Formats: sequence, C-alpha cells, structure tokens
Amino acid sequence: MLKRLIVKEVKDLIRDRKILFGMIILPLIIYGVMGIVVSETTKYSIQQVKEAVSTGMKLAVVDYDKSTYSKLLIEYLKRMNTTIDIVNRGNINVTRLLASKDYIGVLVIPQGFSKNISMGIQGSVEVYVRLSDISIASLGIANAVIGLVNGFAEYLSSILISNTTTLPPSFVMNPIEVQGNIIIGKVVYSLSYISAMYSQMFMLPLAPMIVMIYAASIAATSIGVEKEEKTLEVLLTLPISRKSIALAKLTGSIIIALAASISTMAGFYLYMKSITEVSTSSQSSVGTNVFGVIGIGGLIVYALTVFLTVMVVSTLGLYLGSFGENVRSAQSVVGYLWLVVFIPLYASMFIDFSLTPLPVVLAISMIPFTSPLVALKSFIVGNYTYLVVNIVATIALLILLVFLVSRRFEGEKLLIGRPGKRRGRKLGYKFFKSF
Amino acid sequence: MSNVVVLVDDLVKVYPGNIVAVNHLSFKVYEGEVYGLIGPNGAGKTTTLRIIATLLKPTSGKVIVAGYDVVKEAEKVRKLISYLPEEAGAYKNLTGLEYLEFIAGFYAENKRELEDMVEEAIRISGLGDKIYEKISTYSKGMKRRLLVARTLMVKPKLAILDEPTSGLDVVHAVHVRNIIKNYARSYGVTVLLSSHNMLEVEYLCDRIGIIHKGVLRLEGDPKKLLHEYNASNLEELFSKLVEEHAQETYS
Repeated sequence: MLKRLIVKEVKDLIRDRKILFGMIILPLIIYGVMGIVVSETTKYSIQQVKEAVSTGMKLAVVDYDKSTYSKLLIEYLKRMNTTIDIVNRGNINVTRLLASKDYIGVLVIPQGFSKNISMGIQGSVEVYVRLSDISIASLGIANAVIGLVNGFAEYLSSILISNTTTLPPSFVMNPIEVQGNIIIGKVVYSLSYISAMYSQMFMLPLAPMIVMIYAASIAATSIGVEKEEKTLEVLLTLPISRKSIALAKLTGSIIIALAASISTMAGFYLYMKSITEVSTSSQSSVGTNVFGVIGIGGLIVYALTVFLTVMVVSTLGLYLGSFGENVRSAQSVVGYLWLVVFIPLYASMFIDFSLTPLPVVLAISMIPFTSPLVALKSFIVGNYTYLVVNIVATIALLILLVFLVSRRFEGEKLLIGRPGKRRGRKLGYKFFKSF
Repeated sequence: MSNVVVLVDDLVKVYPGNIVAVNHLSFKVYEGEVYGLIGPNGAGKTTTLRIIATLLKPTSGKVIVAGYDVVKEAEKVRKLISYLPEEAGAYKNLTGLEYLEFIAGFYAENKRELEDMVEEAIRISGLGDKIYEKISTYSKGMKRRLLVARTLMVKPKLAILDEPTSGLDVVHAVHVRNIIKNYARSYGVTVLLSSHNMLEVEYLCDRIGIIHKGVLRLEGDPKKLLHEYNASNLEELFSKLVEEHAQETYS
C-alpha cells in the first residue's frame, strides 16, 4: 500500500516539469554558471590586483640576514613601486607588526638566506599577508605580494645565470622558495590552504541553500496541489492510514531531494573543475587543493549533511505547506523559510569558530540548517565536535517535524483550515496563530 | 426492512467561528437504496457527507456506517466506502489508466481483481483510448466520468456522491446519471448522494431527505412526497418548504 503511494508521489512529482527543472537541472546550471562567474571574477580580481600593485603597496621587511642578497631583494621591492619599512629588531611578532602600521604584508628573510643562495641551495622567504576583507580579490593581493618575491626570484635567476655556470640549472631557475602565509585573527594559515577553504566556504553552501528552499517548496507544493486540484479529499478517504499518506509524501519529497543532492554534488564537481582550470591558467592558487583539504571523506559527509538538511527542510515545507489552501498560499508560507535558512547559514559563514566562545559556537552548531557549512568547517579545522552536535540537533528536529506532520494529517484542520471569520486572513497569521 | 447502511443520529457540526453547518440531523439509508440529500447551497449537505466519509468529525451526535462508528472506527469505515467530492480532481500528471490502477490498488486483494476493477471503470467511463492519455488533457466532463467510474469500480458497500453531475453539460450529466443508476441496480451498491438538481434527484433516488440550514425538513419517497404536498415536481415542493420555513421563522 505504502509502496503504491510512494510510486504515485514520485511519478507525479517527477513528471512536473517545474520540479524536474528546479531540482535536477537547476543545480547543474547554477554550478555551471557559478563556475563561469567565479572564473571571470577571478580574472577581474587579478586585474584589480595588478592595478593595486601599480599604485604601490606598503610592506615591512624583517631582515634577519642583512646580507647581499637580502639587500638586493629590498632594493628590488623598492623599484617595484612599494613602500618598504625595514625592521631590524630581533624576535619580531609578525601579527603585531602587521597590525601596527597597516602593512599589507610582512616579508621575513631568515638568517642564512644569502649563504644558501651562494651555495646553490634555495633561499627561503616567509611572506605574511593580513586579510581584512574576505574576497577573491583580497586573496589576489596576497598572491601579488608573493608575486613580488617570485619576480625577484626571476630577476635573481638572470643575475646568477650571467655570473656563473657552475650552479645546478634547477636551482638557477628557482633560487628562492616563497612560503606564503595568511593571518586571520591570531592564526597563521598557508596560502594554498586558505585559498581552498575560502572558495569552499563561499560557494559550497550557496547551491545547497537553493536546493533546500526548492525542496521545501516542492514538499509544500505537494500538499498545496492536493488541495488546489481537489484530490486531497479522495486521498484521505482511501483505505490507508493517514500516517502512511504523510510518510509517502515525505518519502516522495526526499527521493526528489536525494536526486537533487546527487545533482548538486555533480554540479559541484563541474564547478571545482572549472575553477581549477582557471586557477592553473592564471597561476592563481584560488580553488586549488580543495579535495586535498576536505578529502573524499569530507565530501561524502558534506553530501550527507546536504541530504539531511534537505530532509529537514522538506518536512518543514510539508508541515508549513499544509497550512496553505492552495499551491500559491502553500509556497508563500514556505517563503518564510528563506529567513530561517539564510540568516543562520550566512551568519555562521562569517563567524570564526576559533575566536568565538564555546557556548556561542555550540549554539550555532545546533542550528540544523547550518549542517553543510559546519561539516566543511569541521573538516577544514579538524574538529568534529561541532559537527556531531549539529547532526544530533538536526536529527532531533527531523523527528519532531515528522511527528508534527503526522499529527497534522490525522486531524480535520488539514482539510478545513480555519473557516469562519478568520478565513480571509493571511496564511502567515493563521500559521502563527495555530501554535 | 433491509439493513441500515448509514445511521445518522442527532448529528451536529459547528465550525470554528460558531458556524452551525448541521443542526441535530437524523436519517437512515438502507442497503441497496439510492438516497438523496437535497437542499440549496450551504444547507449542510456536503458537511454531512464529509462526516460520513470520515473527513470531518461531528461536534456531537453519532454516525454509523455498516455498524462502524465513523470517528472511532474510521479506518474500517474507509474500507467500505467510496467517496466522490463535489469538486473532486485527479492527478493531472498521471494517465486515466494509471489513476484507476492507483485507486484500485487500495481495494483489490489481487492483481486479477485490480484488473477487473480497472476494466469495469474504463467501460463505465466510456473514455475509450483517452484512458491512456494524461488527465491534464481531459475536459471537465471526461474528468468527472473518470471520477464517477473510479468511485463505483470498487463496488463499495456505500458510495457517497456529492453533487455527482456538478458543472456538467446536459450530455455528460445524463451519461453520469445513467452510470450511477445502472451501477446501483446491477451491483446493489448503496448510494448516498447530494444534489441541488431536483430533476436529477427525482430520476435517481428511491428516497430523499430535504435539508435546509442544517435541519432535515422532509424525508420519503419522492413520488409520494409530490403527491402528499400536491406539487408537480421537486422544485415546487422544495420552494413550498422553504416558504413555510420562512413564515415559521417570521412568525
């Protein structure tokens, strides 16, 4: 009996072109378009960075080596239209130095820099860039600072080639190793690590969020359509329990949601592929090493959290949609979900868990709609406590919602709503009054 | 006297907002008869049928279908009834055939029985090859024929038909009426229907109950009632009753 209902639900949903487009095709398009947009903005950012560089950057150089090549580097930087402050004190705290005079970056030349180069060993330069803005362009500025040192490396290569032929060609071609670092708050990250994290943090929750809202809309529509097309009354008089009807509706929506999650992941793969391609061609580190950061395990957990969240949102959509009298009103009730889903999700995107007090972090972790983002953060930071808290909270909410939906289908209010004086009032009012 | 299939006893239904839809209504429907509840819009016909169909709960009173209470034993009642709402629809993305198979699946005990039900429904609907097309392509009349066929194909103990020819043109209405009449006779299905079309009721019903403002005003064999009230048709009889009621209320 249940199987029969589920088959009907899926058949009815999948044959609806709006659903087919929105849940299966749309994620592919979203990611495809997003790939193009991001690659184009990346190119634009690079252009912006070039312009920023041409107007001059304020850098501090901590020269522990005070040698021929370290001075050559400083001279080179000055010629590159930068404002350079040379710091010769010992034991410099880079974080404090960066904050002290609004430097964009700090270059640390360690002892033995010139000695290594003279002996044919790569000289190392540590680059620290402060990010006050979270954007692809700001990452580009970080790359531009690193690009200055790389430019010096090329310049040095030409000098070494003209002076000697005894050094190894691989060294001569690449005499300096640049160690790019990003400082966010009090934590120092490698540039490649942060690049991968940023691209994920910004782009990954976007498509699931759209899928979530669409899933809620579909679930709400499934009950709205039953009312609008006048099929609900017959359905409720069939010899099958009301719980089964509710369960079939949920399962139907969840099957569509599963297809949407798979489609989202496929789209995500295409998106990352296009990002990696543009990164390779533009020598930018944006988008590289993403899979390396969260790994296959992280990707699978991320997909599961997307699916779990879509389940919760679908159930919530079905519950809210049952307060509507037709498709339009059901969808308008679900419209409130944008607020419920977007605000915590976006808020959590800008909150640095490492700098936030534990109770606040736990409170954020307990918001079910943040699951995909919490999963990403957990895999990037390597702390899974928040993820476990989040998943437990999400499952608890799901159970509560299933119970509420089941109750709703048992009663007569599903059919009659609130006739009488309040009938003409807005659904939002009806919904909130029902609590 | 035949078995009572539907027993409505002192039924009251008050909607939120203190709207009294059914006011101490009592009547019985016997096995194998076609019983018509007639009355104007808002008389309480649909509410009564919805309560019998287990969709709504009575405020007070009792409704028994084939020995089962519609509130306490709703799931047992649902196995015995087949309900056609006034403005019923069907899943437009399914074909007519798929829809019939979907519904028959809840009643048939095996594949053979399911096929028989569907075959019967196709025959009585008269939809021919259109049965293989999506319901979204059906006209209103075709959809109603499909729904009537769906209601009757399961050979329920009680068929509840709310305005079965609602919104249909004469040709489709006659077709649907003939389906109901023939089916009730052939299979001894008890039919409880509502209508505000007096001609339809006269043609179809063995007994009628005239309902107005939630109260049963008159009940009996339509022909005997016409004779008793010296009316040429049910419309005239109904008008007389409404006028009488208005005078009673005024005085």
